[in-house]
Amino acid sequence: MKKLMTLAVGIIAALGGFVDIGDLVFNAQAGAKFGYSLLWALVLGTIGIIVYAEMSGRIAAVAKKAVFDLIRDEFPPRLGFFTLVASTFSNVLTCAAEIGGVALILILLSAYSYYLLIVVALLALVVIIWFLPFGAIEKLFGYLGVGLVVFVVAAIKTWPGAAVVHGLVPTGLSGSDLVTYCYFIVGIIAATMVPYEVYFYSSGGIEEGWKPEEAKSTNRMNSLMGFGLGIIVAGGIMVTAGNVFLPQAINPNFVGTTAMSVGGSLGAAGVVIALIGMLFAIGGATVETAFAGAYNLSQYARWNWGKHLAPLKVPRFTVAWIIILIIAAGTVFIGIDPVALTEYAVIFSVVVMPLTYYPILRAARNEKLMGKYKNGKLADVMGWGFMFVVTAVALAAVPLLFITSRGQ
Amino acid sequence: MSPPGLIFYFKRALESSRRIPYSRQYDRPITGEFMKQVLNWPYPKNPEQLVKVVMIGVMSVLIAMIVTVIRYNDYKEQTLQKSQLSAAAAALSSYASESAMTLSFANDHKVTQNFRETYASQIADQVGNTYGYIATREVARPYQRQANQLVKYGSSLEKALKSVAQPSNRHQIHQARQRILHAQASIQKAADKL
Repeated sequence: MKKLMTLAVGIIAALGGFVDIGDLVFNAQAGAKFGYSLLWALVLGTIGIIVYAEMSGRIAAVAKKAVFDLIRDEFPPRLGFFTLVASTFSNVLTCAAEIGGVALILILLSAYSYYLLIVVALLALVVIIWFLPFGAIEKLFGYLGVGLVVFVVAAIKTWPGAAVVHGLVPTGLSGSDLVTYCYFIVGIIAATMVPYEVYFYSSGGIEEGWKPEEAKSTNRMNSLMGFGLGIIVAGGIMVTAGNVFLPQAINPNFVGTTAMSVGGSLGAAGVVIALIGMLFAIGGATVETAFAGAYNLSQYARWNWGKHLAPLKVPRFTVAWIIILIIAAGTVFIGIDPVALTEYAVIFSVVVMPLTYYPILRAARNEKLMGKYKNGKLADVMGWGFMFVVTAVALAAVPLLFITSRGQ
Repeated sequence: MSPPGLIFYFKRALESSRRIPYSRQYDRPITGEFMKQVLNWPYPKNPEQLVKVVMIGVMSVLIAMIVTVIRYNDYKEQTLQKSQLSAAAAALSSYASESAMTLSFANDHKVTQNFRETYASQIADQVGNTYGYIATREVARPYQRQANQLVKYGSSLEKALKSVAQPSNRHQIHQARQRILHAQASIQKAADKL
């Protein structure tokens, strides 16, 4: 019974804790433009993040090294330093988009000024991170983010039948549509495989003191459940957007538009639950991005780090996440549109992703480091397969961003 | 806790943080050596080379600034062609659909009053930016009439949205929705003639 309860609670946290502003923006826009025909990209991205996270978690459990421990040890100093700078920039950009998203949702729930709400969001996040332990933060944002399940309910209520299944297979398009279609393939894969989730995941494994024998049990379960179940919510967003926005030629330009897609089938209560779910899911992602940035800096510079230690016991780590949050809030405070920022953040994060994916793959295959826990044949094939996918997506991302004027 | 007490506590915390045994398996210690390796670029080796590097850096920044200014001026002074007008019309039409749906939901109590007011205000701002983009630029002669139509109906769309971005009754919401649908039809007509 206790195991069942733990499983149920894990499923709830996984459903609420996977989606961030990038998933909300790209999946809603893709659904509004191409219906269900990009569901396959979502599936591909989800398998990719499971492979990426599983390898990084296994390394954390066996070798006790998080992503930027590896980068510092494996890369030549200048390349390692460049990777740190690029990843930190990407984290701050993503954190800014997330904190702007939190403020935009708070306006729709409260009607106070946007700028006031940015400050409120910043202070609330600092207080929550400072005072709550790691597990409580995960539970708070994971459980309350479960409101996003309304997108799945709305998708089921307006289920279009076999058309959804066809979306699981890539379809042929031509002309200018093909270029925009390719932009959204890149955007969805990038939004699903955002590297900050892996930095956070591998560092979390070290924080929780995973043992080598947990590399295959806890780690596999967490990466499969945590990232695998999130696809249900992300898919629900895309299908609902396809059902509601595509027939009316609406391009969701606002965070609130995504929430409104459930209004037709679930009414005002559905919209409010969707907004609350989005608020906590994006709030959780804000914490993850700030932590991911602080973890990376601390691991690379060999500072003491960890949320399991009191903030004043790890002062440089604490100062790092606070500064990241302040810079992020300042970025949206000067008036940069969080939705546009999200698209740039997602695209930039995928550009630098090969630099952090490759050392993970290399270390996971290293028998000297991993012993009997090194990649098996399947993990190797998947690992190299996604190395190819990640590189292709990274090379195509920026040209497609400019050619399509952000998918317009 | 008084400020001096706080400083003492902070200092003690700093000292104790240095005593935390570092359990992670690091094989390279924290030394200045590593940062030296990172920062020890092979170039420049002497002050003359440093001057060259700085000059190249300054020139690059200058060129980037000039290109940005030229591009901004081009953007400000561009003459709008069919493709730009079509994109603006598509955006206006999408905003109109979005707002008509919101108001329809508002009348059926499928969104809250606060949601409707805030959302209508956000869309009104974007509509203002979109038709303002056309209104403040030259338009190629064959498309002048359609551009004027887009500005006119964009403005009417904005007014309708602003009217429901504040407390409104059911009748006012219904009227605003009618005006939005009319503006959308006119925008579509102008777009079709482009």
